Amino acid sequence: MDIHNSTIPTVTRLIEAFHRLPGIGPKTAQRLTYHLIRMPEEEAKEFSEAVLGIKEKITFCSFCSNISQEEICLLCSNDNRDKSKICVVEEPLDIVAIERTRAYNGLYQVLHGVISPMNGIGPENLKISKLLERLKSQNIEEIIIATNPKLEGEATAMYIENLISPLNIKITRLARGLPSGSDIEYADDSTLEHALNSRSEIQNDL
Amino acid sequence: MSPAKPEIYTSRGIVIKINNLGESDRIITLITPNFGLVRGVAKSARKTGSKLGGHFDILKYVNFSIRETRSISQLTQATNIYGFKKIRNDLNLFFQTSYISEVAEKFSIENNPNLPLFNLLKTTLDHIEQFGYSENLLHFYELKILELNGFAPELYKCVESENTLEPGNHYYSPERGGLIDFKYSNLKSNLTLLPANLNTIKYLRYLSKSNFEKIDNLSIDEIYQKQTSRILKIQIKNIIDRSIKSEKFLNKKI
Ligand SMILES: [Zn+2]
Repeated sequence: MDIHNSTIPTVTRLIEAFHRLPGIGPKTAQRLTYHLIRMPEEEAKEFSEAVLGIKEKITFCSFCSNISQEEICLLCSNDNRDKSKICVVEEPLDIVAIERTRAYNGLYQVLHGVISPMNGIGPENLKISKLLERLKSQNIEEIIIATNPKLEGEATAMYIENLISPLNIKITRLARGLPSGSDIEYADDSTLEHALNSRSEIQNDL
Repeated sequence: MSPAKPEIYTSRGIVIKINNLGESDRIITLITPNFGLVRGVAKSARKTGSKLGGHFDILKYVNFSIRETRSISQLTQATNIYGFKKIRNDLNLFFQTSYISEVAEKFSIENNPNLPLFNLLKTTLDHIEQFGYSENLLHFYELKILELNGFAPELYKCVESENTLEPGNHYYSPERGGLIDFKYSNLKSNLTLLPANLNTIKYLRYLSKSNFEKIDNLSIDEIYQKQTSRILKIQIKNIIDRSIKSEKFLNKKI
């Protein structure tokens, strides 16, 4: 479907704006636009204010670089969190996923990307120096590296490990293995290899 | 000449680039022996448990199936042939091979089979995986990729006068694609002239006639190594008319 098939410039403008969003194809962009055209004015206003709001009110936490409404995010300012642990993630959405598990109570550091030579992204383009600053100024006992288990995520993890190993802080990585619900038959070699290497003894009390 | 492609076909290929697309898809770029550069969407590859995600990672040599659609092709199946393990576990090797892959990508065209280029890339990666990386290997690779794409640098005759070069220090012109006799160098002020000393010229000629087995034990002074590096890199960029993003990672020592 041609994205320019609307002849009304205002409509085309919104279709194009939607189309620029990740995961929105031309058809969906058009459907969303026509949905908004039919929407009551109050609701449309609320929607546009919500869009503006994230630009006006959202900033990045000055400690962990997570998205935040305040200078320091809710996680960093929460006294119930374990401030001796930092979990290093690629993107703010990774925090959401880890928080959903309720299995981690420490702090985070968002890198905002991974080392990617082919895209010209080096360590200096990530929030790695921010992490180092925190390691020097705060009392951190453990760094949990939770970058994605792909080559670029692994390379970023290796880089961070090399950088902080002289600081004598415990460094751990998320375990890698077979995802629940998957078939061994379809697992790729490196997943299977990691699953074998990090196999664990069956506990009798389970 | 590109053969008519069936709607669904299988091929071997080396994954050189991955970009996220939308919520859970990935665009995978591969260099293949029979179809040149291949770009396809791996649907849901970012999801845990995806049958595709684990196979399509940078520097994996895979067998894959692809379905041609009216928009971007869809990668449907993949199995691993092997995944350059040593390179993947060494940050410096990863940086160096990123440059090698990116140069190969820039010389590759979709639907345009280039078997010599695929073989050069694969042999170079195999060699690094087995014996490690060296400047000689990189220069050999850069020179060979120029040669097999029809841009072999002229190393024996002056590109201005067409006279056979006397032994001595001359210049290299990326615009003209070869050496320029030092006597003609001041006549052509509009050309980029890179110094090419006698030893640099000998080194380039040696590399041109060399093979993978011969290059590892080659030793050459740093100054000529640097001259060669500059000549080859500027020549490559002059031809592809773009910068190479991973070039700055070549000398990043970790
Ligand atoms: Zn924070």
